[in-house]
Amino acid sequence: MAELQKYDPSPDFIPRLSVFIKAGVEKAVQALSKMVNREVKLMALEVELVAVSDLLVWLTDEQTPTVGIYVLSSNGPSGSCHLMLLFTTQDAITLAEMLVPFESGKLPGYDSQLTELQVSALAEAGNVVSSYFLSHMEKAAALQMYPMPPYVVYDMTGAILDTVIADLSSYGDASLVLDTAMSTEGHQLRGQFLVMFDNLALQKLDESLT
Amino acid sequence: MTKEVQPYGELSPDSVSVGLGELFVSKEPQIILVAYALGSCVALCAHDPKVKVGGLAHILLPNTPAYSRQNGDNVPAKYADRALLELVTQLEALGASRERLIFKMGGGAAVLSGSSLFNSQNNPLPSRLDIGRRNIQGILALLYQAGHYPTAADVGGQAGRTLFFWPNTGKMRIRTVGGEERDY
Repeated sequence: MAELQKYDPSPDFIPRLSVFIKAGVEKAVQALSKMVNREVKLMALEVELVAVSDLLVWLTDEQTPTVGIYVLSSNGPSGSCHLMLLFTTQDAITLAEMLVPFESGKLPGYDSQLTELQVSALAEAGNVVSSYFLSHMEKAAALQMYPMPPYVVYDMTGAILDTVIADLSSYGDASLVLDTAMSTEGHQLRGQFLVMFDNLALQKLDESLT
Repeated sequence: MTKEVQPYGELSPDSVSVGLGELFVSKEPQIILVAYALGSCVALCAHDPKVKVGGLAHILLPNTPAYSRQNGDNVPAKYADRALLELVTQLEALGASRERLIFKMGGGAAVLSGSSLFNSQNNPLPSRLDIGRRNIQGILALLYQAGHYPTAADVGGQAGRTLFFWPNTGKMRIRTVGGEERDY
């Protein structure tokens, strides 16, 4: 495991990184739009350097039942990037029904549920979104990372995220977090797209985006 | 430690949310300590039945990383090796005896590997993300080294937990996302 010194970003790093990341997220969301065959819009985009231990407080209500689609991407010398799509259970069902329209099932407390095929479709959505985002990182910042297969999970938001927080804590004390909301026209699909870099990846991005 | 005390339903007039890396001890009979949404994190609870005090540490990782040691990370319960020592020290300050302490623990799940919702999905986690298992093993090792063992443990699996602990009585309650509750 790489051990790092305390990371102090250069003064204009966050504004530079915001522009870079926004372009990457737009590409990823465009890919999602193609998958669901309708326009998915970015509603908000917030980029902030957050202390790892404050991530849960900063991000969300930790007790809310949530469906998470998670992809870990890493490359030893380039650090790690954690990508997480978070949806309420109902929004996850909506997205799954867009991806696989003729499937239906049941989630606890809901009239419809996710079938095995829909879970696979959500994982594939994670694959596509992460691939586009990582491709942008490689092209624009020469930061090459390799994604692992996605995990689709249903639990309390805090329980889903604390493994990510623990992993980030092993590598440093700060994480850059991108928090964005998305929606589709005519459909109540809202979700969060979280991008969390570890210290090593932040340093590489700071060097690359000059 | 000063924390906001909030009403908690019918169970008690007061509850204290013990966040990630935090630790709280109390001898107040009305207090309930709550660690919300534990995934791979482990809540380690300790109670002295004679003087009726107890505490909870919300632990993130088993060992203090070299990075944290170098940079003076000052979160008392983030790492198990420091959390156990701090928990015992703070309880002793309230009159507890470390020999009498009873330990209970909950958490340490592999949430990302799939939940009970998706029975067909059971993706093993890479060792890097298998933090829940490492937390359980690390905390058990520390307890054994200190001559203790947990009298109750609701750990592992794939489901997140919210843990309630009554420091005055030593009762531990686990609630999962489906609403199921278990008392220890």
